Amino acid sequence: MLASNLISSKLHVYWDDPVLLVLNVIAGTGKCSPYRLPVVDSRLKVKGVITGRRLLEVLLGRRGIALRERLGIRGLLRKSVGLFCDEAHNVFSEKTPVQAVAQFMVENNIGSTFIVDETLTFKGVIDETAFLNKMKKRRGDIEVCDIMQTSVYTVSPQANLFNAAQVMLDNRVRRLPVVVNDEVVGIVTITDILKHILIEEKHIPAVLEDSEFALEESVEEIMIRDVAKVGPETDIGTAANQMLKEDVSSLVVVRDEKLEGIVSRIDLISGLARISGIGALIELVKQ
Amino acid sequence: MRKIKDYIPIVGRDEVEEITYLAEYVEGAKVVHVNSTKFGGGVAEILMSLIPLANSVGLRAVWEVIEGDSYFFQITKAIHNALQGEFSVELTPEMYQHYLDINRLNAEKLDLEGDVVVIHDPQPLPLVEHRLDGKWVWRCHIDTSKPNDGVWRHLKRFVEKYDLAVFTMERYIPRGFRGRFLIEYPCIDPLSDKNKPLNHTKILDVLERYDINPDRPIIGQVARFDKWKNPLGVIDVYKLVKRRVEDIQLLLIGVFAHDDPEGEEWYRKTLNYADADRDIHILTNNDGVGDLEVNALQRSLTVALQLSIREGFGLAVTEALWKGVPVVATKAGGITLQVIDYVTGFLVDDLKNTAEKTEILIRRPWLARQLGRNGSEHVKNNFLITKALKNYLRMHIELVGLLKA
Repeated sequence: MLASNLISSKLHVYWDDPVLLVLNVIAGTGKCSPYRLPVVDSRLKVKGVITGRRLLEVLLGRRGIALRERLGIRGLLRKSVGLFCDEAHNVFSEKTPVQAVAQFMVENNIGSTFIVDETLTFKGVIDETAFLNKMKKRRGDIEVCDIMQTSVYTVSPQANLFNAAQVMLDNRVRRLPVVVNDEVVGIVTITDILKHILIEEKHIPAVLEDSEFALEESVEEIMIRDVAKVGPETDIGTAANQMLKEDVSSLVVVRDEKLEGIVSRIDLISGLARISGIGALIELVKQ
Repeated sequence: MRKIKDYIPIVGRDEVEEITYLAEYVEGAKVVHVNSTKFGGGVAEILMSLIPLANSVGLRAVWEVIEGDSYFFQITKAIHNALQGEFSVELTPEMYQHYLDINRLNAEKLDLEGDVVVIHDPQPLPLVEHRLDGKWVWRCHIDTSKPNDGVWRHLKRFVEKYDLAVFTMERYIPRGFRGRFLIEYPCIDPLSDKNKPLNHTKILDVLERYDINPDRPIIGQVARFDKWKNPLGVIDVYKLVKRRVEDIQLLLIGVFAHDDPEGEEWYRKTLNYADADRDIHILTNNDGVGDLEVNALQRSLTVALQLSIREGFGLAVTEALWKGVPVVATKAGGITLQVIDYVTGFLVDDLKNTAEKTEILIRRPWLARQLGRNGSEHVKNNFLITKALKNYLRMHIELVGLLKA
């Protein structure tokens, strides 16, 4: 089977799209918005990649400093995303065997790869979804507690959004469980903060003036209370199924409502490969 | 002097137009790159190509090299090893002071006035103490994911003074690092002497000069001589393969860099270990092996090996793949981004497995050709210098970008 058969998304933005438009796409309405988007030119040649993290960095003045100083954030939001995106790494030919792409992703813990044809024209993205779809019916002897991340950054409900954003950017994580006395009461993600900035119209002028002010509300005002949770003894196939069904990028692992860890989409896939061997993942992909 | 337009046949007109578009935002900006050697090693090679290319798109890029005595380079090699995870390294107060003193002396001599100053690797890291105006960037090319804590504590305070840090991979970022960062894969220049296309006669000339038989299979590794690159392991693999493929030859190619005092010692160790085997060719710049020769020798390989124990990125792998040579390699550092198992080469865990995979490729030229073709395409998609140039331009725009006229 070739990589082109496993493409899970063709969503992309154009190189000259303004940052504001891209913010609209990434902070979309789905629970699991496209955190990472390919940036292409008018002929669909891959030009880069833009992530929720990068957008938040730009909005909070951690990136794009020089242009922000000259244009103000209003001007910056109207600049083309091509100036702020990152180089597209992990680009594969559509003729690459899908097993090789799977192995590459787990060896390097990379959640998505771009698929192109021989002229570097964008064909789509292979991300974790494709593998979770294969995994969701698998039942075996690997439990979530075998593969979850146990060192988890958390935040209190009273923390303000600006601080929560800084914790995520500083520690390079996308999500923070909101915890009171070890009990998980909610979750907040980079996408939630972007949505908050975008959807709550009252914030747009505030962001334009001072991003810190815009994010002075507390985490509990925007956190998702209906957290997608899973028990530590849950089979990873069941967890994969739950992630797809609930359309979330991670599950919080709890025992008696107390936080034990967190498991993301790539953790499930890498975990399967690490414990059962890369052969198990490849077998799954071939099915 | 190469110009950006020269790359159109390789990367296409779109890519070059994008570069010129980005460059207009930073036209005339002065960018100073500082590293510790003009010659030898991946960083010097990247700068050798990047600087003229940046100038050709309108930047004013200059390259400064710090100078130091042999004690300084012993210290910086120890720091390099410590950052790559060698826990036995200790930085005494005297060593640390010498490291700072030499950097201070260099700060007085070098031209560090730029809109952007890019400091490469740990050797010139403390120059930031003497920063003038302009934005300062630390480009870390090595794997600092599990640094020696004692040494890292000393260096961290310098890193924190930079406006931006650039790492090769996200997993190389040291624990506790909280600053602004970018990820940039290293790259190769397809038009440099080391990588440009060569005709068959030139390759045969070079092989003849070093008494290598072009009609017999050749395996080899291009790497500095040090323990992280495992040159003795390469000889072990050769000996294992030799039992079944009698006419095999081994090439070990290394360059002595000015900032690498351990090179001599490991070169001698490797020579002793080869035990005067006539089919093992250990060649260095002292034997007249320059970029063109490395290019020709790499192109002559049936299989390239890279058995590094720790690796920054492994540009020698990128170069071999670009030349259509399949690579059998360990899973160190950035190698797993390049060697895709069964597609561009084989990933291996031990020497026996390396020997088996090498033999498979020697006995099946059609498979070696196919993996080589895939490798070349993978490099074109991901690791060419035009990508690095774009990354640098975006970084400059971010730090000092001007409005387009």
